[in-house]
Amino acid sequence: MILQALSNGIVLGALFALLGAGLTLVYGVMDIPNFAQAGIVTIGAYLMVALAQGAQLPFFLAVLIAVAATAALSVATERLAYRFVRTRPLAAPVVALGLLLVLDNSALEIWGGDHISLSPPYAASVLQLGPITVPGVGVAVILIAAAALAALWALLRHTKMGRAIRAVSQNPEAAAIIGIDLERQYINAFLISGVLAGVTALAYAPTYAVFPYMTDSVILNGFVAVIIGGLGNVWGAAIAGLALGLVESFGAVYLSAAYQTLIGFAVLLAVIAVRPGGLFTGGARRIA
Amino acid sequence: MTPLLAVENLAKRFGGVRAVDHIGLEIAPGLIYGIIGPNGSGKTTLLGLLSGTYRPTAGSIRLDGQRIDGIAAHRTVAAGIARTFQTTRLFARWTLAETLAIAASAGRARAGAAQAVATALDLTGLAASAGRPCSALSNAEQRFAMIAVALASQPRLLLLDEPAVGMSPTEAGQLGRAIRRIRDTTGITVVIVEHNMHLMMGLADRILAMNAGRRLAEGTPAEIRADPAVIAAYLGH
Amino acid sequence: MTRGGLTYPALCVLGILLFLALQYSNAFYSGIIASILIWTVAVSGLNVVAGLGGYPSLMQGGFYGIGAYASTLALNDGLALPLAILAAIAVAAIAGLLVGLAFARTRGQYFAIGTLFFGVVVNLVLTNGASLTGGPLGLSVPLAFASTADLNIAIAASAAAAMMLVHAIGRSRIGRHLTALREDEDYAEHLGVPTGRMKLLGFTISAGFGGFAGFLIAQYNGAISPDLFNYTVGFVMFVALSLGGAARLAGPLLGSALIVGVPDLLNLPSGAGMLLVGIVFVVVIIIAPDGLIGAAQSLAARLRARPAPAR
Repeated sequence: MILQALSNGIVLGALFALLGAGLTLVYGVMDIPNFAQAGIVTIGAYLMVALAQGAQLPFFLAVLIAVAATAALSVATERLAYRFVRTRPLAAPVVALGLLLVLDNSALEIWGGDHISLSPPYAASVLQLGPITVPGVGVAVILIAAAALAALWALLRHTKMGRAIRAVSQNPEAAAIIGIDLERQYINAFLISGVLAGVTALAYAPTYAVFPYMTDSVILNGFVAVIIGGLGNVWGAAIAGLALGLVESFGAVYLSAAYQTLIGFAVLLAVIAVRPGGLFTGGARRIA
Repeated sequence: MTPLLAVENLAKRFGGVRAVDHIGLEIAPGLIYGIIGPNGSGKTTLLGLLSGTYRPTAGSIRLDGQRIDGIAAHRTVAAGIARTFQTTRLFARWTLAETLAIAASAGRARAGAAQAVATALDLTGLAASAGRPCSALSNAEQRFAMIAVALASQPRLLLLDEPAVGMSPTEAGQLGRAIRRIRDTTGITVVIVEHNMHLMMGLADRILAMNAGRRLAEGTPAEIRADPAVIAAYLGH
Repeated sequence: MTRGGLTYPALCVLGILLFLALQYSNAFYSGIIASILIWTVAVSGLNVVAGLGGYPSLMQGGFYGIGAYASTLALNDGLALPLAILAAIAVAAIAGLLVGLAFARTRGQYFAIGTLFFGVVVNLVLTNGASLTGGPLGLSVPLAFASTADLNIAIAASAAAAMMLVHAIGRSRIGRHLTALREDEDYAEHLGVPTGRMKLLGFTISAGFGGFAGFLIAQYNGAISPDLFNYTVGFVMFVALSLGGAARLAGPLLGSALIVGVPDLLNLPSGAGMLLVGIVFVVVIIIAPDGLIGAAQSLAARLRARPAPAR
């Protein structure tokens, strides 16, 4: 039972880590809680269903198109909305929630409120590790998350774009002085975040159902991961997300399944109350 | 005579940094008391400890014999301490009059609030600007406005944190005269942190020189000017 | 909050008109008006902590739910109407106080996010505390009023009274201290404003209003369930306040009318309604940060200040 909780926890944690990474990337450059990320994941999931199962496209192609769409959508939220509230820290979270309302309800209007499922080709397989059963989709979550985070790390460390984003996150004025185009990097951050949203949809949708409010509870867990890990700190968010997944999974087994999410929020409320900036901010905000 | 302010062994640490490192001083009532020191010497932290902005990690602060260390900032106002800030802080969207009204009504003696406001405006020469929004005042006017706001709460001890920032020599001269006039008219004790040596030497009755959170020297302006340790620390200031 | 003299009589008249509208319009319109007015009570309360105090609370929906359940449980226990109302207000107010204590040092967007989570927690507790709250199916609510006419009087009077109360608070010492801390909390503290105490007071008062509104909706609906009080309610109440105009007297009424009334009047399905709300909200926040009333006031000020045209 412990091992099963462990494996469930890792799957859950991988999901939180992915969400947290996308959220914290935006936080790093713009100090904005990107609640809209939840809506973009949802739209991404619906697109995958529509393309792979509705239009009968090859699964891989459907995923590619959906990820491109979520990336574009993410950039659109920056260009059309977030851009105007960068200097107004109080307006940002409410604009973000407004966008989430728009995205969730767009999904509701376009595709209806029923719970549907995304069935990737690997849905039927199951991995048996001794006493533990890990469903194929669960394995996929872990692999996808690991690959995505590794790719993100490589991007941030070893590419020009990644270094530029990190520079902006650490010190926007200094970055501007050395010639970095701040607007461009904001867009880049949202672009990458949008790709992550699509990847999250791929990981999340097969494991749970697809419906307009599918991400509303997990996005909050994503925020817990971000705040615990420190705003802008991608590794912090990833590790915190994993830890949170494990805590909730064990909590569900040993305390109460119903109050699983309550545990995460209790942790967050405690952190926010005591150290609003997060546990691991360490002065300047950092990305990776 | 009981000193108005008695500080004993006061210390404040931020993490590993000893911003104020065991300082003691006594200030008699009605004095204009200056604090000088290079950047990072702990002057503003010291002021912050007196105003309740920070909690000391050690030591005591007594106002007229009563301990006030560690109490919340709004309580120090009730006890009779008011301060200004290094960077201009005012309620930008409000008029000067509205800002003064809040300070007067939340201050030490709520009765006589209207009089306190009038006196504050008079002493800082801002009566004509009372109806204007704080953001519409010039830099020098805003620096004076902060002093007026502090005066409106009818303090016994006025803490001024680099009031002359951004002022021209003429304006600084007006500031010095205003501070002297405030003390002479009301008997308020003034503690003033400043970098402007010219202003400080002409204005202060006594001066505390700080360095690295510690007391370097204390005395009259003439004594401080001649003190070898002070000269060594401030060469070229 | 401006002119004193005419406000109270005007609000009394408004209250009477609203009652007449409630009582004598057909069921469709009457339902919409009732919802708008009940929301006005809750959003007026929100105006104290968010409008006057400047703290973006997204959890008013939580107190709304607490009040609804507390009063219903009281009534089901056989308590009389006044006690049920007291229960709604008191339990919500205490919850507001506790949350205020927990978030005493939290500000800005972290405060907003924290309150959002509180709203989620309330919903979770309501959904899972089946033995007390009836779980996801909720509870049915006994009508505590002698007739629906009485209920209508209560709703109309409450909306008017809520606005009057908030108006009074705005002009009182508490109101001035709250607006001072909205402008610059640390500076206000150094002016002698007991900001900690004022914030707690603001939270408690706001929560109390929310709780009372919860009692009203429970009575009006006849049944309550947790999904009436999910976290989006708290957010949308904040939207209503911002749209109508925070720190403006009629802001809550206007905002509630827009948020609740427009989608219902246009008979939009709930999804499209919220979609519209979301879009309008994002646009308004970007263009008119002081809400619609604020924008109208700025426009009026600019028109007044315009010099006479050259001859």
